[in-house]
Amino acid sequence: MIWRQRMSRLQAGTVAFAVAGVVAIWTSPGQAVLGQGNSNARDPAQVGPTLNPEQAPTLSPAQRARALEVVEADKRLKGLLADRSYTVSEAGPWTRNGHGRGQLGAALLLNLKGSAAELEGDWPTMNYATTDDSAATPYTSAAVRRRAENVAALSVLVDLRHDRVVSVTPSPAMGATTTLGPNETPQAPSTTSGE
Amino acid sequence: MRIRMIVLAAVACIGALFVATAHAATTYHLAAQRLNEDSFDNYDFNSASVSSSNVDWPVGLFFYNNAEVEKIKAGLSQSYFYPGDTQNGRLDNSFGWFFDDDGGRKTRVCSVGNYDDHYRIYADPDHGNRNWTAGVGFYVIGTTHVDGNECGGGTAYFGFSEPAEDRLGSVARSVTNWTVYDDNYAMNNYEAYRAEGNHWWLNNGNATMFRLP
Repeated sequence: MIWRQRMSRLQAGTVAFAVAGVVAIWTSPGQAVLGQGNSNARDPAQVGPTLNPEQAPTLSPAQRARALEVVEADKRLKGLLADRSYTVSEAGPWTRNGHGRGQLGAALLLNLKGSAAELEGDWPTMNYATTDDSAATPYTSAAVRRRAENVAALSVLVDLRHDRVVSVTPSPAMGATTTLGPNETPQAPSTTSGE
Repeated sequence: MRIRMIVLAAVACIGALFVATAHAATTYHLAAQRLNEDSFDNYDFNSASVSSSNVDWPVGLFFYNNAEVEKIKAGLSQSYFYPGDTQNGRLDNSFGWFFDDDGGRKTRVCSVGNYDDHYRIYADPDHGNRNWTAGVGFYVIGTTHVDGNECGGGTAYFGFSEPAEDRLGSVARSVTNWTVYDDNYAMNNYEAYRAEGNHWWLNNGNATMFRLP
């Protein structure tokens, strides 16, 4: 029945997609940033309660430093990078949700020095295993052998509760392509409702 | 051409069976943005409900002068062809607040060991799928982000709105008579780099403007 409903949705979506098939002049828009000034003032009354930006989760200097130590000591990451050096262009908190509860560690963006690289080795890969925010380890992590081409940056997740790198991905900030490992096939992750 | 569209759409829909998803996320910068007598929220939402913990992505695209939803999709279709799942933008086109939903377009069906760029655009469906205000003309707002490893090949992730916005700007520059102004509209939705579940935030708070003929 579920399959039939899905197929029905697919057919409907397919058909829908297949079927789908006084000018005001903006004066010198390139000369000034639109939105600065009174015409674009914040209007919280229109959107109800908002969250205080000061309560946003953060990564403390000590956490950042610890995360970098974990990254530098990680053997799998060393294997992937060979002798390539990198700079840390971004560092922020890694949380299970946006309220700072269940802070898991750090998210880092590493820019590789030099030209885009081909990296082959064991890539730490992570999937969320539960939606329970109180779970001690709400994810599973495993190393999968892959080759990635045209890699200029890496997105890295560091679990600071266990001091380990749990995910390394070629970053879309720069563009890259990964080749699946020998035993990998495309498959559904733990969630299925679609982005 | 019609057959190609049908085939590609079917492939896209089959691919959707395997899609990972970005859960509703949290922002600390949700705020309605006024534009003359109009307003719009500076994030889109997972459902037709305004909440700081129900957001999807920051508004980073602003099409204006003579913009309209289908016109934009047609203009970008060479690179952004595949449909995506629906989200919701909220606007006030001086007739009152309303939600508009859109699935947008993606550069790939479902990324495996790779990523695709995905945008969604929102406007008033009861007034020609566009909004209008003096001095700006017909305008449409939008969000964009990356869908990474949706169907496997690594850790699934979504986000990186800023580089996705930059790439969409590059595509739009190749569209005849479109003019692109990078990061030219202050949307008050800066998001520092952080990972919230599989929602990776990165946004400089300034939307790119696209002037359409």
